[in-house]
Amino acid sequence: MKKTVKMAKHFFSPQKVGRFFLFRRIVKYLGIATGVLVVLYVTVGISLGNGFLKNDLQKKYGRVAGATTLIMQILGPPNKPILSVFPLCQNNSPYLALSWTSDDQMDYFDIERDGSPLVSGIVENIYHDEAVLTSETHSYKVTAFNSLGQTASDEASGTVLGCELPPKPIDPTCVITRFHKTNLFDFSGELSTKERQPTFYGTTNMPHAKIEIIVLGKTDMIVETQANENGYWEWRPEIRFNYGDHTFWVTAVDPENGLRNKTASLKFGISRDEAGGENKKEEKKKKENLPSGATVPGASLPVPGISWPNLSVEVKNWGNIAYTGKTLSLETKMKNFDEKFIKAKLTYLLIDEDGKIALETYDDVSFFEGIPIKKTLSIPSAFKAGKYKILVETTYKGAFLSADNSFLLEEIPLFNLGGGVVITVGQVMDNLLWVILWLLLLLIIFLILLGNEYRTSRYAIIQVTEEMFRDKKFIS
Amino acid sequence: MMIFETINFSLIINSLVIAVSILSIVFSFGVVWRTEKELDISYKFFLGAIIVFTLEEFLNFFSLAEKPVFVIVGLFLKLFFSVLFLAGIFTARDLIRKMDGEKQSFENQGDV
Repeated sequence: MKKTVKMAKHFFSPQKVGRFFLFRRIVKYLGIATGVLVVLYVTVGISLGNGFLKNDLQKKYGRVAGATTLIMQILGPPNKPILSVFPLCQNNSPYLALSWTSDDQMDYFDIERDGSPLVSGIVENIYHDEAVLTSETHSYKVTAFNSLGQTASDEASGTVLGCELPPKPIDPTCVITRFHKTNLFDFSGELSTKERQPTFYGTTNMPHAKIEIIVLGKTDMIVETQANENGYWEWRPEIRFNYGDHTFWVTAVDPENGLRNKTASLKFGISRDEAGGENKKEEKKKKENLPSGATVPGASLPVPGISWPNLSVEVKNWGNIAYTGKTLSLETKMKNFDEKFIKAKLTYLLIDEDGKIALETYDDVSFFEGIPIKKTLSIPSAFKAGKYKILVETTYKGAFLSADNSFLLEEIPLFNLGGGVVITVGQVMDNLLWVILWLLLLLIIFLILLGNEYRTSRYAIIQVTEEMFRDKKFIS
Repeated sequence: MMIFETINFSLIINSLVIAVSILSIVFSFGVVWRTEKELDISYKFFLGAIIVFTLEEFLNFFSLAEKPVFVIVGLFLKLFFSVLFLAGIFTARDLIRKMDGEKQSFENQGDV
């Protein structure tokens, strides 16, 4: 005990000698460094605001008092579907058959393939994915919906097997699966909604197909968009439809072969509220006079014999990738018009993953047939990385024209350590505490080495000069 | 295998360069603290050169190094490294010439 006390006294002795002197110094400076680190961390966290400290601590050290999230299972949302995927062949064409468990609490299903939407509004608990090639492996997830919520299944994968005989060329398909909240798979009758900007959902068996949309009626629109890698597409008009009846045509075009395309159509009406009164009577009369039209997905009304200009936009950045703080290069073209040139006011909208408009700008241009208009947009550094869409809109003789193209926005990396290892500003901010700790650790190691070198140099009896080299015969 | 080697080899070499440079700085300090006169001055130049070299290597880790202003800074750092290294070599050569009598005999003969 006495020996321990003596050692402790010697350890904490203020004397600058003794075997523990260096160790005491290290502990002292470590303590100061830790204190500085904590003050720095808290200062940076406070300056960043927005609950940064709380989120960071929560991430690293578990729940913070007062931020407990309680999850309750309320009766109502559908049970979790159990999904199975089987590779099959039919008529020498391979496909993946999906089936899952379902019950009365499930109204409809959405299916995702490889993380992207494949089809929406399925009412049966089976689906055949025919847009596959032999030896491909895909992972699927089914989400069941009802009025009280949604539940997703676990992911299930399947690999496409080859069929014995070469498969027939697959005919292009284009199906409208959902109109606003109405699933069209088992729907019959007239489609009508009060929503003046309803969303149309559909699918095609051509990945990245060009989707050409024409709407005629009380509001005319000609739009071009694109299906995703699973052939899934959805479209919500940028302007509100006028009240009344409209006809919607959608044509999916193979991006590699413009002659491969398929059209689907449906008729729908935009009605006023129930308190519309006379207008309701007038609209009912109008509906009765209309010829019976296709409201079933897959059937097609004759495409109108009109010639509308075709507006298109293309992202020219390499790989469709843009970086924050850099520019987005675009080319906009208009084709199929009779005039020598068309003057138009273009609206450029940059839309994020959530559908919100991140950037809006205008340009007065003159279109000449087939000649692209080049435009460069500066992307602010503060924009969040992710999937974006550039939407270009204009009007032509009362018709609304729009076109869009998707691209990926990535952060400029802060560090490029070589060999493809990059660290972005976001990654640094997410792991700020660890970055500071590691930097401090490296600094401490450097200071220890330097301190040790200084300490050993103090043991020198004399300072070496060049005369000694001569005396020691280092110089001949 | 080739891809694995490329990815890790570049990162390992870059990391080793930084680590070795830092050790060189520490040991150069050690020599500076242990020497005097012209030997001390020559090693101070070497120390300055290795510090500038290490800073330039750090700068290359930042993607911002692609910006024109940082490219110019990097070029000047390279230049300072070269100049300081040359100064260190020159000073060491000068003291060796004095030690081996070469410079004195030149001065006696009237050469500079």
